[in-house]
Amino acid sequence: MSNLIVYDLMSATAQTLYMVFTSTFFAVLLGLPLGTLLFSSSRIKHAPKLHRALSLFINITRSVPFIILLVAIIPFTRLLVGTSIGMNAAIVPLTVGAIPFFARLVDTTFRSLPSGLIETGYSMGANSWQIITRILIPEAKPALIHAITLTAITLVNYSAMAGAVGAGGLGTLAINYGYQRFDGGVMLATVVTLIIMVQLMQMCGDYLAKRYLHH
Amino acid sequence: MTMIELHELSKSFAGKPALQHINLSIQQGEIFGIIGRSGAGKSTLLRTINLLERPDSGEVHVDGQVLTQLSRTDLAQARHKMAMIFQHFNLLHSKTVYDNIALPMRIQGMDEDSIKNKIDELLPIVELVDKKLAYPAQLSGGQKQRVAIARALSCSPKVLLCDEATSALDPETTDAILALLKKINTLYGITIVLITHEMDVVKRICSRLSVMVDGFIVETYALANVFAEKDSIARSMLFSQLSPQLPSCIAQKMSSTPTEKALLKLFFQGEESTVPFISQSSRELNIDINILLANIDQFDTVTCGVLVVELNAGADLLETFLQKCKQAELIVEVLGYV
Repeated sequence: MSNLIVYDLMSATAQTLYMVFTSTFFAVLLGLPLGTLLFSSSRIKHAPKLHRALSLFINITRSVPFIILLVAIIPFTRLLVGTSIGMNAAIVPLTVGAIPFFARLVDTTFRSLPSGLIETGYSMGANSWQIITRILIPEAKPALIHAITLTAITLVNYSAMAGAVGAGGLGTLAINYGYQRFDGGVMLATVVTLIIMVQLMQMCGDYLAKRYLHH
Repeated sequence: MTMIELHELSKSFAGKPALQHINLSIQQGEIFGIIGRSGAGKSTLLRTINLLERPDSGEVHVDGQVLTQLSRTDLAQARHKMAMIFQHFNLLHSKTVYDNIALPMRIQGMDEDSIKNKIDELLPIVELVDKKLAYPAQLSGGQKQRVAIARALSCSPKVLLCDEATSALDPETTDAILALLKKINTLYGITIVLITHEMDVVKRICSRLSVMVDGFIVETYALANVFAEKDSIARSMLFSQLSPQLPSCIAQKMSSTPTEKALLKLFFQGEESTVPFISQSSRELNIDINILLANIDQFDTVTCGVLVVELNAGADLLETFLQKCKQAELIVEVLGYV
């Protein structure tokens, strides 16, 4: 491999990491409240209609294949970042795709907590907000870290797909060199880089979750 | 002074009644027990006192306030003065003992200095000074319940609600936790309401008790008076709790066909338990009385005992003996013949 390819591989890796971390950040920022609201509407402040509506919305957005979502929201992407090509443009569909995924994980995480915790909160005179922020989120922290890791890894996968429409990163590299020029060496190097990336992310996630796990 | 007053409470779940016309008043500073089988509605009843369960109809008065009429924020305020402990402790595993105890105070918005002072005051009472920075996973069941009790006490409550608080604990730990509840009752004058399916728990610390059956409160007595109530469920529960199980080698031999040897169960209460009734009867009637099992216990101020005896007598002598028991105001039950 020439130095040029190595340079391309490194910059593509950096681009992928940038896309994955930025979209994970926004997905968590928006998915955590959405997931909490989904949980809260069924278990804390009963609002069956809201719960059904949110659940339906999440299911619909989750069932759209990412490659279709990518194209379908191009107008929205243009509106937000001014272009539909490049890394920043890819972050929009990546985030939109990951929000309902992460929200569902948040809901599942809260559901797996002992149900007595909410009752305990109420018996102390806590309000719904205090129950969520002072009891549920601290108790769910290790599981939430796992959920963030899972989302980030899923986004590595999605970002490679976004490469197909010119997002940049390892996906674009793999398609341009590996697929269109049929260069097996570059293809293999890309795949190995992705494997290492996912492996490292999982290890970091596990390490962080373990730090917060006290049982 | 009345601390808790429940007036005509009713509640049903999906058409199935859980509470029916509950009227109950609990005095300040007393330890009140509610006993019943699982499904009798006692857990629902306890949860209506702090409105974790809202009754379909009826009123809940606590410390002069009508909780059922309070707004959400006023109810949260009122709950600060009513703490609750649970069968499975419900501690936060992600937080240390210190932070668990601090939680209700932080929810109330107390400053960290006052929180620290309060925790330093509470830890010696629950005997957990050396566990201040431990996590719940590192504690035994009894220690976890002590943390939960300290957490409950942190906001200086007037009422402590105990939901099967000792049901997940072994007998020795149960004793220790009950002793602690008694201690804080004496120390702070906190009104304690506990629900349990174990008569033993009620017997140890309660001054009054109610029996719940199918959503109704069927009996309410002072513990010391239970024995005077001949047909009460509470008394039969106390007696069955008092009397030891017959070993299977005897139980299997027993039949209901009368023979020369009868097995009797005798309950003594109050003063009678101190009178040497058996040896007197044996001398007077000239019969052999073989004591198989015996137990004696104290219920509040009343001493109570049970004896299972084998009577080597014919039908006539047995009848005389039974008469004698009745005169002495003993409760006697013919278990069978061997």
